[in-house]
Amino acid sequence: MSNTIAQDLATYLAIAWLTPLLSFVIAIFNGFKWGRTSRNAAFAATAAIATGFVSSAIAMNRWICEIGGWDKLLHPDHHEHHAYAGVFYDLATFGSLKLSISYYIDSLTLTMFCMVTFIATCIHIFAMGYMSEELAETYDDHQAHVTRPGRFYRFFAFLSLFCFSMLGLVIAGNIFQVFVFWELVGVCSYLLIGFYTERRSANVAANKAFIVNRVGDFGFIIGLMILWTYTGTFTFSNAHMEGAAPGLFEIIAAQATGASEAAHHVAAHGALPTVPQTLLIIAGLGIFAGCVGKSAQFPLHTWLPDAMEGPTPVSALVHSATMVAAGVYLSARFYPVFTTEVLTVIAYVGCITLFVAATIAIVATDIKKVLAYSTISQLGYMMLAIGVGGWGAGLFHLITHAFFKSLLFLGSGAVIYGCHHEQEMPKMGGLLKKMPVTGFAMAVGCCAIAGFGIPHTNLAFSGFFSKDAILATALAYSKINPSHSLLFLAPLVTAGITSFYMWRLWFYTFTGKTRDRHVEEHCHEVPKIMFIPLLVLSMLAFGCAWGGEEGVLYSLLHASQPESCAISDAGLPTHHHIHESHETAGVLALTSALLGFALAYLLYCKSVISPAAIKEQLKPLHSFLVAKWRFDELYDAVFVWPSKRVGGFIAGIDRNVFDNAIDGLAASAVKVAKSNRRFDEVVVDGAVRASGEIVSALARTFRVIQTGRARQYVLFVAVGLVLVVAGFFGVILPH
Amino acid sequence: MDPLCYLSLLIFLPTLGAIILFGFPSKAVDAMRVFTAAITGVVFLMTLQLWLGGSFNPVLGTIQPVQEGVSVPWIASWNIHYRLGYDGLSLPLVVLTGFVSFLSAIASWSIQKLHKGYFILFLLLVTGMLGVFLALDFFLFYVFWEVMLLPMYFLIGVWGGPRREYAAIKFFLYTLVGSVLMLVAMLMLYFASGREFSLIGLAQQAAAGKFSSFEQTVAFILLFIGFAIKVPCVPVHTWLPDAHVEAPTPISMILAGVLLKMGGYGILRIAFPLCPLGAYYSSYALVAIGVVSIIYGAFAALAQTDFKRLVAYSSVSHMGYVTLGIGVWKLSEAHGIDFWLQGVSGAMFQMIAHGVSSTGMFFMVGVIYDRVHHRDLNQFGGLMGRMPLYSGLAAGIFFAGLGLPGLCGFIGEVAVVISTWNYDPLLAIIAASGVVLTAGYILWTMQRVYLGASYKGPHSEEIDHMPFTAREAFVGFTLLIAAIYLGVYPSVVFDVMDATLKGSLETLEKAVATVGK
Amino acid sequence: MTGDPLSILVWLSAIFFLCGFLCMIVKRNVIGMLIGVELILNAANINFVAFGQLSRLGIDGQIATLFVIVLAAAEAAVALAITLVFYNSHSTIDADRGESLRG
Repeated sequence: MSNTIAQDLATYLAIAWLTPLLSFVIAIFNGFKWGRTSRNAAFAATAAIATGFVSSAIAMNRWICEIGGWDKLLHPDHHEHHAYAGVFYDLATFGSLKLSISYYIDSLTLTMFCMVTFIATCIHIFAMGYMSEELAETYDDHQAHVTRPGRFYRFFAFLSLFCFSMLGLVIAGNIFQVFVFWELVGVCSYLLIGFYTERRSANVAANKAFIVNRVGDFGFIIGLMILWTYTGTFTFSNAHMEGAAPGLFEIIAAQATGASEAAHHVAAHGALPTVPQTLLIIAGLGIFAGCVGKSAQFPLHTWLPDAMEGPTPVSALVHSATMVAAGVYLSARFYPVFTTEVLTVIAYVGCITLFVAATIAIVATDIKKVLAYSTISQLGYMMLAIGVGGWGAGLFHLITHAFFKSLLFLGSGAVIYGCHHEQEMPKMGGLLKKMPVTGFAMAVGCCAIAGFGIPHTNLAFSGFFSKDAILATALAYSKINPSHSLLFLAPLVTAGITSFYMWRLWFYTFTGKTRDRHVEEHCHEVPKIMFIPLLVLSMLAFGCAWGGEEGVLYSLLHASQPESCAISDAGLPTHHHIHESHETAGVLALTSALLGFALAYLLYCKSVISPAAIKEQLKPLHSFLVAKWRFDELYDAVFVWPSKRVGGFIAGIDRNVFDNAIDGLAASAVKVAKSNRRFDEVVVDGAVRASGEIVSALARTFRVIQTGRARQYVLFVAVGLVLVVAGFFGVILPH
Repeated sequence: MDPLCYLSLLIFLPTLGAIILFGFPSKAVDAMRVFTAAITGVVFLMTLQLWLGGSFNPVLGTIQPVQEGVSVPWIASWNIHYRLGYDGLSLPLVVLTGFVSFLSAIASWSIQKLHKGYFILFLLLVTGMLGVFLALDFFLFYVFWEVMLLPMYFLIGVWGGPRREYAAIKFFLYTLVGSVLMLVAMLMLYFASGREFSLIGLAQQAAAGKFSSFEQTVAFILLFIGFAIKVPCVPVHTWLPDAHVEAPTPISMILAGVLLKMGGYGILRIAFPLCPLGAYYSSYALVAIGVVSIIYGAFAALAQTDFKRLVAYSSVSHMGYVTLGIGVWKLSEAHGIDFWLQGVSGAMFQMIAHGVSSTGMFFMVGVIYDRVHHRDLNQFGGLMGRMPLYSGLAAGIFFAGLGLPGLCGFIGEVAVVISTWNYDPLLAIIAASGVVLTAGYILWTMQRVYLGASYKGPHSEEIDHMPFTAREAFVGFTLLIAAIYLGVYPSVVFDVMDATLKGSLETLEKAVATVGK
Repeated sequence: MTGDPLSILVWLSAIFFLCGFLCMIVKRNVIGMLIGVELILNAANINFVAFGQLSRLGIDGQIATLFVIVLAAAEAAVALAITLVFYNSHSTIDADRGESLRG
């Protein structure tokens, strides 16, 4: 039975996963044939991702039927995992070691699939409108000052490839496969950020995104190496299947819980490998470093704001809703392997990130940059939640954030589209009259991200529930560990800041008077194809978390909640603790958000105090924030510049040391050869020539008697004979 | 067909072609091009036949008996045999040789002068390369090794760029030093073994502990230096950038695609089995050299402004993974030789993958060089808009070089790197940091060449005059498809070599263990 | 000088030889030189015959003499042929005019 459901789920999800790849292949090969003005690529991509959504929904339904229907989901009797694992095919086998493409499906996988495919479908539809200017033989890129052919099909091909990679990451059944698709989403992100290849800023941003991510991946690889060396497997879990080799989760769990449970495994599979505690911490930190890179957490957050160079639908899909959430997803997926120390680090990284990013968002003036920093900040919340043991809360926020942030980004995209690619908020203002639908949708998004709602009722925006869950967990955690109370205070304050900068964005853009004549003249509401996705997403941004922690979404996620290997001695809050804190945390968070809203209203709508005056007052702070805490300069000075220098130095070594050594060797060989030649010419040849000279000289001497006259020769013969005879008798015989 | 005849035919078919080429009139350039391409095409098909034709059994084939090992006496008084054969170790490289030769023959359309001589030497080079991979007699191996050297010298020295003489001589001398060291080691082992040249026989004797550990160490060092020059490892790598930069495009492709692999192959086929103890003692040096090559090559590539030189240094960096993977000889308690097997398999895969990706990279450099006649990275840009198909293919190939998953470069690198921790965590971390640098230099290069608003360099009009031809697109597509295929389904290579490598490593392990007692 | 017949014959031979020798080096005419050669050969013949008759040499001396006579005949034929050729090319038979042997 369980086998067939595993196969069913794997098949449905594989369809959802591979259809976008098919669409990519079709679009990339046919795009040129279809022509610049054809929408076929968009239709193919949208159809593919919509198929993906349908298929994911069917899989979700199948899973819910399997566990016993909706009631069972909302009121589980006991904590039971319904997870399924299996292998698609092996990449390589080295003795007992195996690298494979496999799947691990539980409710988290399914929820992610539905969320990603759904949001992607909305964004594809939006992008059909947003990118329509590319549907032309010539496209004027005002920013790069070039005219080039439109690239409509290429955009959708890349989007499809991205969806394929993202879904591959989610379905992955082993950490190696996660790494594979991790890199692939990275490269899709690279392609999409750098979509306007003519713009230098876009290329630089794309490179930066990829390379900063690679820095995180460096840590990721170290984590992989450690786990691989000590456990010999990358599989997450065998999902309690009979006969399957234990995965990482089982191995680490057995190690953490000690002998009693391990004995059971020993009987079943032989002794399980163990990882030394220190290395387990390093491995956890390494994997987390990968997550830090992908989810743009401090200190690798610098790439995400720059990534806004990509087209806005890309920012909505890749750089807010899905890919950047992959880091959080992996942290959650790998939760059972993280030790207490790692979790603390995760919590603090999240905490620092959410605060730093929020402060920068206050001063950003580019509408997309504000949203980018807000994304970083919200991702920080999720990380924090995971770090303090709020596994469900973090993922809850991941899903709600995906909806409201994609909504906000699409809204900003609509604004940018309406204002003819104007992104600077100081030039906008008063757009509500001209773009009512967009303005309304953005307002819903702002309410959601600020976390507005009425406590004790279901009448609240999705962000309220998820942020509430996070703050409650953080509060419970800081109650248990008073030394870590910063982990509650920072997000609480930041909740206010979040509300402030988001409403600042809204008021700045939609109320007051339009500050730029050009924008005022051209601004218009976006076409239907763009605002329908906005409306759909606003509904979900409002209601996707309906019911809070008793609702469907949270229950779905909660059904996959793993046991942390650190749970025994970590001081992580239990469900009971969190429940106690809910009241306080909820009220505090709401107060904070309302304060932020009020401040934004006073400053930017009513102009009670001039923001410019405050800016003047706090000039050093302001410029520090505008410079994004000077991280870019720091990294340039500490990493980029030295790498280039080292590169130059090494190339110099090659040229000057190695090559010179070799050339010198060759030169001295030539010198030796030359002196050898002289020796040959002077000494050896000299000796030979000298002997020749002697013979020749003798010959010249005796030549005189060779007269050629026969008569003289006769005479010489006679004289010679006489001399010989005389010599014989006169000299030799007497002796 | 009788294996000896088949393998001999495979090796000497290009020579036959070269002889026939003598009869071509010098004016019939197109005929010579097509003829050469046809000959290499047949060679490629014959290598495929070896692999897929059913005569090769991947499950068999430990290093002894090498599959299809056949011999006839050649110089009987010195116990030299004409001995050919292949196993899972050489077969992938033989197929790679056929593949790369075929593609570079097609890329040879760009050769502009002395066509007849070029194609004759080209075919002789192919014979030499195939011979090296198929020879199982040390002497025969040495002969082919030298045979391959000469055509290469002339191909660089006559058809190369402005500094071709310098590059050719540098290449020749470096390689010759390597062969001399190899010759010394060969004679050492010949006399120590009681006049044996057979690689199989020598390996058996070595496994049985016939050579003293001193002999093994000395011979290993000599052999290793000889092969390391070919790989090339830092610090004996400086011939490579010069040779690559000056060589004509198709020759660069062969140089990167096949010649460098002979170093790795030699280490695995000769240095390790013949001197297991020496190899065992030197393994740390191998790993360290590999790691240094990775980082050193990557940094040097970062600093280049010549497109081709950059690709050449990327070869140094990528081939570092090969040395690294071969060297990680340390047993693990739980997994025995598995990690080492992973390292060596990864190294072999990396050789194949690099054979595809760097061949492609050099080809891509050549395509643009044929048009604009310069290689200055700071004077490109905007090619993505001018030549979209070319740029798209090039991007794919460069991503393969970068080690992007789904393309061939990734599997080998990652298999090697993650097997290294078991050997030495510190070196593993340094090796892993290579991924950042690689991403850095490849992306930066792509940015400078393909991206950007417009092309900035000279001969801009040539880009429009010479569109990307179908022939060039064929080479590009073939390489990219090979890269994707290997990246998505790497077991196609792993399956071929798995049994051979496993058997071979086990034999080595046993050899060292017996002496250790 | 004694009356010993052998010594008389040897003396005779010596005088013949001297005559022949002088004839060879004095005569510029090739024919004259040839006559000198014949004299020298016959001087030798006298010696052979004398020693063959009067010492232990026996019949061998006469055989040698016969051999020399034949040799002389052959030599004369060759020499005259050379002379003829020499005359044809130089229009003279003056031996001093032929200098092609000069070193």
